[in-house]
Amino acid sequence: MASMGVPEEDMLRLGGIGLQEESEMVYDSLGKKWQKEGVIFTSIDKAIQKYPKLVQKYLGTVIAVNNNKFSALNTALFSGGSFLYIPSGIKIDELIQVLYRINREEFGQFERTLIVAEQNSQVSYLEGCTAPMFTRGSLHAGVVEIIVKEGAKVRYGAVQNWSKEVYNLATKGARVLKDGQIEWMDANFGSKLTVKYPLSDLVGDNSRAVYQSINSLTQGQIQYSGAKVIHSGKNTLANINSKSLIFDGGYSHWQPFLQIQNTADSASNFSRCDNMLFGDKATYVTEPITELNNANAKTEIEGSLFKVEEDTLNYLATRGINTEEAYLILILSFYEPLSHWLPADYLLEIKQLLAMTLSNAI
Amino acid sequence: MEEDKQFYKQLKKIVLTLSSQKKEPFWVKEMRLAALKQFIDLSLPSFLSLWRKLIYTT
Repeated sequence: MASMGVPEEDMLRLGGIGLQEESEMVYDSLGKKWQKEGVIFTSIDKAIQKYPKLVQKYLGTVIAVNNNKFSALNTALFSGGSFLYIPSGIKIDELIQVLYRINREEFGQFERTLIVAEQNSQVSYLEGCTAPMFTRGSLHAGVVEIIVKEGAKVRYGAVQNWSKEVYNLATKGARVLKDGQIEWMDANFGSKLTVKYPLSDLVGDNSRAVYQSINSLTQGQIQYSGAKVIHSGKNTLANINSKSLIFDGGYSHWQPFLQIQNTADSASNFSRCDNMLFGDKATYVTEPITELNNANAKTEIEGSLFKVEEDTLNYLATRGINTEEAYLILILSFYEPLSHWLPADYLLEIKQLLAMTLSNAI
Repeated sequence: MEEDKQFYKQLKKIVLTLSSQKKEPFWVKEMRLAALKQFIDLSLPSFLSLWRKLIYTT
């Protein structure tokens, strides 16, 4: 694994780790103490062979075959991806991490991820996606399905840094039962085109969803994103936040989709979108969609725009801070609210990716 | 369109080969084929032509 870019010390502090190259999961490992507790972490292909009834019970139940054309294509062609099963009451206090790589141009990666968290269980799962620079496009059309049972808590993170010739068309969804909670953390830095609308299907009473995305778009990068939340349980709560850095030539279309059904008494939904623009040719569109079918529900939508002014950079220059450092300071302060709850792993990776983005974009 | 029918046939062959190589249970193969049908139904001809080249490389 060290030769694949995963330091040995990182492997020791992780609860489990997997690596997918192209269309196959080439490595997966789970800490012995979690194996003894009945946790299953393996490739989806192996899981289908070893635990067919368990996989059959959940595969395709959150993202239906006819959800959209990208997910349909994934279901037809999926190869690789991971299966994670956490038995009732097991709280995994170490991170489970999976790395995805595309090493060839004009390639398609269709991994399938299935996470099942039984009652009162808990897990944090992080995906890292990367690809070297290509001259011709590749396609990534992954599907992630998460089942969060009564009282369970799942934290799912993805740090995406595909090369800027990759089309990233991911479909992700979680079904959350009574008192369960799903937390999405989504960082997008790479790819030519990203289309991503993670679904939180809050079917259980008192279920919760938190969605936080941070995005960076430079010349030629296009992103259509947002979070879908369906409230059908009573007293459900969702908090949706997006923060995007858009440089000259970058385009962001943010579209949170909210549906509050008539059964969702006292449901509450908060959506917020913040954009930071660099240059006059950075473009963003915010277009929320809300379907409100319950008079006792509450929804709020907010947005803000921040543009870096020359005066700010000049001021920082008088303090001996060069332009690149100044941008990094401004960006990290823009992302500052995230640092209170993002794990150190995420922050470190994000800071490194931002520094790389800035050195290319400025 | 004839071109789409041919594309579907070629994709079906890929799906069946993939499922056979992985020695998957019957229900997985059936799910894959149902999804492939949905993919064709949900996709416009222009979309299909765009992705044909990429799909063939998998």
